[in-house]
Amino acid sequence: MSFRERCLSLALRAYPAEFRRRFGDEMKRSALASMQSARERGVWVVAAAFPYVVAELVAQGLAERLSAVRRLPGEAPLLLDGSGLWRDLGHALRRLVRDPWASLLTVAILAMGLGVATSVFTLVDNILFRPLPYPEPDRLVRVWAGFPEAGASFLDATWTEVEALRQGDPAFDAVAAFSVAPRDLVDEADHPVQIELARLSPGFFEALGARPARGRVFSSRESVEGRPVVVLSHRFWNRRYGGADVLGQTLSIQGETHRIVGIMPPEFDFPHGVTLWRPFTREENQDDDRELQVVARLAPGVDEERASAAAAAMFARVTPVGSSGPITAWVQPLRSMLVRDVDGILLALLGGVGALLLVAVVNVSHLQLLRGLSRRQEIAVRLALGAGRSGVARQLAVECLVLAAAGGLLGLLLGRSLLDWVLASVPHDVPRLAEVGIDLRIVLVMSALTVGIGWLFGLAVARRSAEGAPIQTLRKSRVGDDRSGHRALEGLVALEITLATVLVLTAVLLFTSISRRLDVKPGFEPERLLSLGVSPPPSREGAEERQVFYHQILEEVATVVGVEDVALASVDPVDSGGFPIPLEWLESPAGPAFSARLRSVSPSYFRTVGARFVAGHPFAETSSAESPGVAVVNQAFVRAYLGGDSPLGRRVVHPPYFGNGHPTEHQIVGVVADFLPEASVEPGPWIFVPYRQLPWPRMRLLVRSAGTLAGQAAAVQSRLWSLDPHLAIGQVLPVTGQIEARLAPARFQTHLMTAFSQLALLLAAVGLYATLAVQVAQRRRAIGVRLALGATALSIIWWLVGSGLRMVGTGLALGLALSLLVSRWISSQLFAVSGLELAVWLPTTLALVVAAVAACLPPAWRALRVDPVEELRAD
Amino acid sequence: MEPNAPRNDRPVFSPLKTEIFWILLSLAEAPRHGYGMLAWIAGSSGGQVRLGTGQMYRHLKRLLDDGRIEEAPLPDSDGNTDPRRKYYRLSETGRRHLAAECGRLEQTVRLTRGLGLSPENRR
Repeated sequence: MSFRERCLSLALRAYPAEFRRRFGDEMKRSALASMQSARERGVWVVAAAFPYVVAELVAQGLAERLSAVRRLPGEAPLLLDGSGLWRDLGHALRRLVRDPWASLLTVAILAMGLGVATSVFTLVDNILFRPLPYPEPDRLVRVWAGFPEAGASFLDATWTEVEALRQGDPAFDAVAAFSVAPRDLVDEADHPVQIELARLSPGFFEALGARPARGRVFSSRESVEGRPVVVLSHRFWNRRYGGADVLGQTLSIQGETHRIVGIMPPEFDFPHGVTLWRPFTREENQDDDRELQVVARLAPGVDEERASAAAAAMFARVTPVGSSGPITAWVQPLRSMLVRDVDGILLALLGGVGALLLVAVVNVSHLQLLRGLSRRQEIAVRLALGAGRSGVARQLAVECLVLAAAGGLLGLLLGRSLLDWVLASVPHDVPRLAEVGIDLRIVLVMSALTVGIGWLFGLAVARRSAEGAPIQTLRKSRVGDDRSGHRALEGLVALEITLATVLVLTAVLLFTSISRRLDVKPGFEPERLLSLGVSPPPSREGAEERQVFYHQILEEVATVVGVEDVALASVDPVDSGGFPIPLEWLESPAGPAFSARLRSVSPSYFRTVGARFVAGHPFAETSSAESPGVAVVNQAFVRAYLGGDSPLGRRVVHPPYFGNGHPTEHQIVGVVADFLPEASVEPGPWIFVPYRQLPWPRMRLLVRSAGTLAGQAAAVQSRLWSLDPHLAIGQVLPVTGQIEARLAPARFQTHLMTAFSQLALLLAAVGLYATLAVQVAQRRRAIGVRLALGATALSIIWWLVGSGLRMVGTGLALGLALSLLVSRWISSQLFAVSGLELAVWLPTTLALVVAAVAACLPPAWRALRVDPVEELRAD
Repeated sequence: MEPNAPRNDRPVFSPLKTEIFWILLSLAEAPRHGYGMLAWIAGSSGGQVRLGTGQMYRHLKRLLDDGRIEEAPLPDSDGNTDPRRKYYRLSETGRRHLAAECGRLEQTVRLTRGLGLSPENRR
């Protein structure tokens, strides 16, 4: 056989066997003959004709198969039978409509599971897994400095260090520095507002690879010379200018006119929450404070370890070993830094939603299985009457697919609106929120899941329902004790109870944790306390004027009606940060250096916030730049640096800040109880010094109100502006609100987990109930016989509920065991709750058992109302 | 009714598909084998109707099943006859259908001529 003939034989395989038998030989001859005639017209025609002939044969063969399937009655293969599929679809729809509640329940459960999964999956995927919106984001890192001997880490860098890094090492492709600070923005129409401004070193946008949405970023000359130009964030541009064309317009920051040159795209949010970017000015370039945050792009192929070593070497070369010991440095991937606070929470949510989705899927397959079982007789009759087994199975599978498709579609819609809701209720300081949106990938994953689920339970149902000899099924149903298929059902119910148990226990653990966090006394009294940022207007920038200005503010605000007390502080009481000031003991100057977070406060501070003194006393109201230096420390300070010895009377010394003329030695006069604004965070060593002895450029005003806070903020603001209309006032925040905001991510997680666990519990109860109900329905006759033979009600209940309790017992036992593992996994997110706390486990387990028994009771009740006479008469 | 039974009750006046018409037409003159029909159609239609082998045999099967054509005995007058080939000819039904279709076409042509739509008139 020639090559051509072989090809033709192969092509003829496309035809149905019967067709091939009838016409195969002739067709081959015919095709060869037509190619022969082509040959007479030239070799190229043959070369073109042969593939055409083969392709035509194959195409027609497939068409013939399809039409053969369409025309012949009886069973046909699923894949090729277009019309059969339509018929099955129509049939499935009719069946589903005939049983509307069960269909709706299935679709609703699927939509719920897939909808919740879509929204949470989108959120987690966008925040944690999607790369940052910059080119080659894996090469972007933050560079940190630290003094290991002084116990100081995660420090910013100085100009000298940044310059050294920028010029010195091939491990870094680009290095840029930035610093974020509140600044006053003057609006022509209104009072000034404080905004978050990032000052940038040259090459900042270039290092990130970020491009503006409109206009341009800074030219290198503007950057180097520190020209007054700004780039706006997209959010600010929309909010303030309504998206109008503002390029080339000017705005006044801190009394200085700046020109707008560009607007960043909405997804650019680095540093997080910044409103404006501008270059560092010349003067800012000259001081060498440790206040620069460093971002760098690693050279290709350089790993974190090598980059860290390079940065450490560079920093050590330019920073002499001082009182804090030698400097070190390391890099941290930018992405992990951006999401470090929320990744644990989000991953736990992902686990939770996965479990919920699994419960939903198990529940749905379970309901379908029940449907299949209750239709066993109908199916057996159809089989007995000669329906094909595969046809019956296929039809059941199509029903399941229709349900899955409806559930998936609804789920996607639900997921969209849920996502909007989640985004609205998610704490606003979660990074990268601007980037979140459902994309094609998630739609695809969800569709695949839906179809997968549909097939999975469809096949299970089809297999179960169409197996076994029909005669046996019919015979069993007459006896009234058809228990085949129930083992699988019981397994599914146990699985649902297992998952629900895990979810409920996790939610209870999280809930206990957050309520205990709320119960912790913060160490001061946050109620009725307002905090607002104030900064002196440009005309009062000098150290002397600033002092006078702050003094004036304290006196003025104290006279506002309803104000009980007022104080100034460089850091909010809820803020555990603050400048880490390097310190040494004056008594032993050669002793090890250490650092504490500095709080420069007015003497009224301790009274205003309600701090509790454990030793000593606050500063005198009169302490000033001229009087001897004093300080108050917190308990953590005493624990860390004095091993619990009394610090009273001891003296610390620090380098001079903000010019000379202020004391650098401070005698410790008091110890306050630790502030615990974030109960889960161990407080660090703090040192409080009088603001006149260490004047901080920007202060927060703390106002204790006598009554409610409503109206108080406005009264204080208007008093401040009557003092100076050019005074910029930052956000006015109730301190309780600030504490709330810190708890928000954990609260968000707890709410979602609680919702998941309730849904899962509900689904498990529905599953348990439905299974028992079907069991009772199928055993009516057997129950009737037993009752007629004198069985007691209790024994009947026990007979029926026994199987329910077996499922509950298995599910609970497995669930509790799994919960042990899960509680260990989330222990880092728990506060003051041990993963094994009996006070959590016992009530929860009891509640689960009660829920399970409650789900068992209605079917048992129905079983007792079986009338034996009626059931036996049916024979 | 058996699925393969000839359907003689098929309405005679339904227009025929182009391919079917040409296949029937190719058998009007004399019985032919498959390739003979293909070649005749390609030649007589001036290349306007081209049937592929697969398409041709699928129609052939339908026409055989419908009883519009039937297998013919080998024509012994032809010296070139390949004994392995099958020859086909029109059945009575097929001839009736073809005649009806020709009549319909003639009628159409008359109508278009009357409307002055024939190619000669367009010049």
